[in-house]
Amino acid sequence: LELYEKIYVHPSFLETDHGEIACSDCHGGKPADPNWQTAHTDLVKDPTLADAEAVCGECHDQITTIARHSLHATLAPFAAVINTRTGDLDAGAHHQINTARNKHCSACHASCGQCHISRPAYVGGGFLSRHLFLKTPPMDTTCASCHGGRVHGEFTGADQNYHPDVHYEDEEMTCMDCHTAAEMHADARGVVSRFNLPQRPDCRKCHAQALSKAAGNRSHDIHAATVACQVCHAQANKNCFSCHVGTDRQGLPFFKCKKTVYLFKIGLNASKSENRPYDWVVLRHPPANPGLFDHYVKDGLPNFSSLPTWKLDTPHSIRRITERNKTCNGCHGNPALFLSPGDLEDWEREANATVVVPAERIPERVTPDEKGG
Amino acid sequence: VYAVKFSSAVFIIALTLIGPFYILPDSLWGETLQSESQCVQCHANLKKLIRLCWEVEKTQPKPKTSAETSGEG
Repeated sequence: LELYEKIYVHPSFLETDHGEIACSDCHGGKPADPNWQTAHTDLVKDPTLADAEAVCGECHDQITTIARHSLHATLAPFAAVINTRTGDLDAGAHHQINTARNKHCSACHASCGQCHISRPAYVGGGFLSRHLFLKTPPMDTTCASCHGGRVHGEFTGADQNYHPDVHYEDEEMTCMDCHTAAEMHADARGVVSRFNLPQRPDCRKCHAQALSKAAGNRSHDIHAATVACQVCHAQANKNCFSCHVGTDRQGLPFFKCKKTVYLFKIGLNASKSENRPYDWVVLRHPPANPGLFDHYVKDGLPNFSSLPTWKLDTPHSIRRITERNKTCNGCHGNPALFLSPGDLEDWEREANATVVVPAERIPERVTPDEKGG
Repeated sequence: VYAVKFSSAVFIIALTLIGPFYILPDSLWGETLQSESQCVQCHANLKKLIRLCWEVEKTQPKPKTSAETSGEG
């Protein structure tokens, strides 16, 4: 966006409820100063970032009170994972790791304004619709700004060689059809993984009928209790390997990611729960590695192996028919689909002991008799 | 007598404070608010805003990204 497009306020905004509030009530500055340069002194670009309750809370008190503890606001699982891997580092090293985390991992957290008024600061900001407040943020700008590297491409089919998600292609659904406002604003205190948030999407909410005995779907009858939906219905996902972050001579943060590949790997479910009781889940390799923060602290993740590097994934590339569910032997007797010890680097073997699939657990080929004729 | 005098005083004060809200039209209040704010004079005037943004861009460097970044993030 051009600079003027980012900050142009359409006169129609002034006719809305929010437009009746004086600009300075939220943004500060010196509104009576006719000199534009000095008028911007002490101006707060995004007043909802520092203290949403002070500006939005006057009218939207209920939602701002809980949303400040939401995953989008706190990115709490990032800290939880990194703290688990840092273990008992001394205070100085721990401080360095936190500095690195804030610099490299916390840039994309969202405020009220960065979803409902402007694009996220992470992508340079700019009004979504000339300062109009949008109750439902637009998927292709708001969500894709931060989730465009992987999820948006999977969902819309923008990633080459893969079909769009059937929910997007056939039903024209958007992110918000599954990821509701209740989930987006949910109080996530104590939640160490986004997969544990009670408000997160669940295929069964809409597809209960397909999973019922009455539907007569033999594959579902056999697999639904032990195999996550995505194992049969998702396409490949994006995996990154070996990322290192640092600060260059100009003080600018950088990252170096060695390899990004589309893969499909099924693994064991290391974190079973009431909502996810499956034995088999789809896995994805995030770019984490023991040397991630070496630029800041050498060997700063001594407990790196306490968590898998192949982690649970729910790819947003769902199709009714995939290469795996066309026939039983799309999966059965197909070891390449399963995360095997051979897929692991030496340094990540210990970390993935709970998710890697031993050869003896790979389901055997199904014979015509077993298929039921 | 005191009660009547007190009530009258309260009524006159209330009328003085609240009266203008009923007498003056809404649009006039809006105009007053806008004329006090220079923000709207620039941010809701596209021509003026474009001209000012050119000035800003001449003086303020665009945010840089590190040349050392490589791969997908």
